[in-house]
Amino acid sequence: MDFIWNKMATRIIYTADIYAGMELAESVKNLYGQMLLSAGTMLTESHISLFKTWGIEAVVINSDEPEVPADLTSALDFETMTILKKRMNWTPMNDQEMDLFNLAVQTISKQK
Amino acid sequence: MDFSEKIRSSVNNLPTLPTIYSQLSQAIEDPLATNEKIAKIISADQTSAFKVLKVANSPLYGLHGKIDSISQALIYLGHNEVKNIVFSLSIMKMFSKDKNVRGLRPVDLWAHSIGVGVITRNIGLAIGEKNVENYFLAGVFHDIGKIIFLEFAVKEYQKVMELVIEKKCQIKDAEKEVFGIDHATAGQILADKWRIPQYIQDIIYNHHMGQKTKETNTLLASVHLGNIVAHILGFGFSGDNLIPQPNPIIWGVLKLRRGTILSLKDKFIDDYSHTIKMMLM
Repeated sequence: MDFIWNKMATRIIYTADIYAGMELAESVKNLYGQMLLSAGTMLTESHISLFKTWGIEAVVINSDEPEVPADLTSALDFETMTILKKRMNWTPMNDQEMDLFNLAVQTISKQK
Repeated sequence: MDFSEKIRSSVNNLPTLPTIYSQLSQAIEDPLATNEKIAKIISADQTSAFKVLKVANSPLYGLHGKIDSISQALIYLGHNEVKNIVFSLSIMKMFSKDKNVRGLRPVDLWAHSIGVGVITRNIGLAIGEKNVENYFLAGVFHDIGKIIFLEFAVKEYQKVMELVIEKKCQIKDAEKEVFGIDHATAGQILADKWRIPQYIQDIIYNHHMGQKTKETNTLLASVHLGNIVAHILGFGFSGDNLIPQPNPIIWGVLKLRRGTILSLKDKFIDDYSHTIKMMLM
């Protein structure tokens, strides 16, 4: 895994859902591992359009109320999220659906 | 003639169910028929008999290599389950293996269907269902309508596959656009012609929704979930790789605990890899 973050205080978010004022919890890197923006950066509108140009699909931000349940985040990385986003267009709503989500994450991570 | 009529008339021209299956059904319904008599019917077709033995010994039934005769298979697996295996094998034999469209081959579709069968049966066992003998068959047959499309409208099905890629939509929506009906309806036409038992017809027609009218049952819910899990695990290929969204109604009947599906992952994979070899090779 590329990163492990504090489960209680961060969450992964699609670029489309970012708004100015959010704080990056993890550095944003491109496919070659080059650092594009460092952790702790306060995001602005121009960052958001840059993400789109760079093809960044999702980032990790600091959050007081994580939307993604804690056990989900442990296995996630950008590549997995990118593949998963293309294949799954619904959000898990209960424990059993979280199981399906985690099963998909495990399967995709293994295939990479 | 529109496509749905074309499919209907092509299905009507299909041969009736294989004799081995109807003889077997009759014998099983006859209270006086002995195991030996039933075993004899199956053994008359050596290829089927051989495959039945292989499937009966696969990890799916947990009897690893203990069964060396059809009579034993009938005792350990039960008449209906053996009949179901014969049924699945004879139907697979009836359809072409070479009606490929770009990106979808019948073998992958059968592999997906067998995968759904294996998962559905394991879900049935996990929820403590006492009678799971129809679970495998229901899973295997849920997508039979796609086989019908490939068999009778392979050129048009190419368009369906192109639409799926172009619009990133589910295959059933692309089918409706091209044929006016989806594979659930096409499958129902076949099920009707062959008078396949009503519970299988319900599965074929309702597997996407996971419910019939406003209700569901454990078998339908298990197939609905089995299909989703087979998509997630990449068992075979059914034409699109979108992971379908579960209908929340299924959770109420399945009453699965958190973690159950994850804990069954290895069993799903093991049963699948063995069973496809037994049935497809």
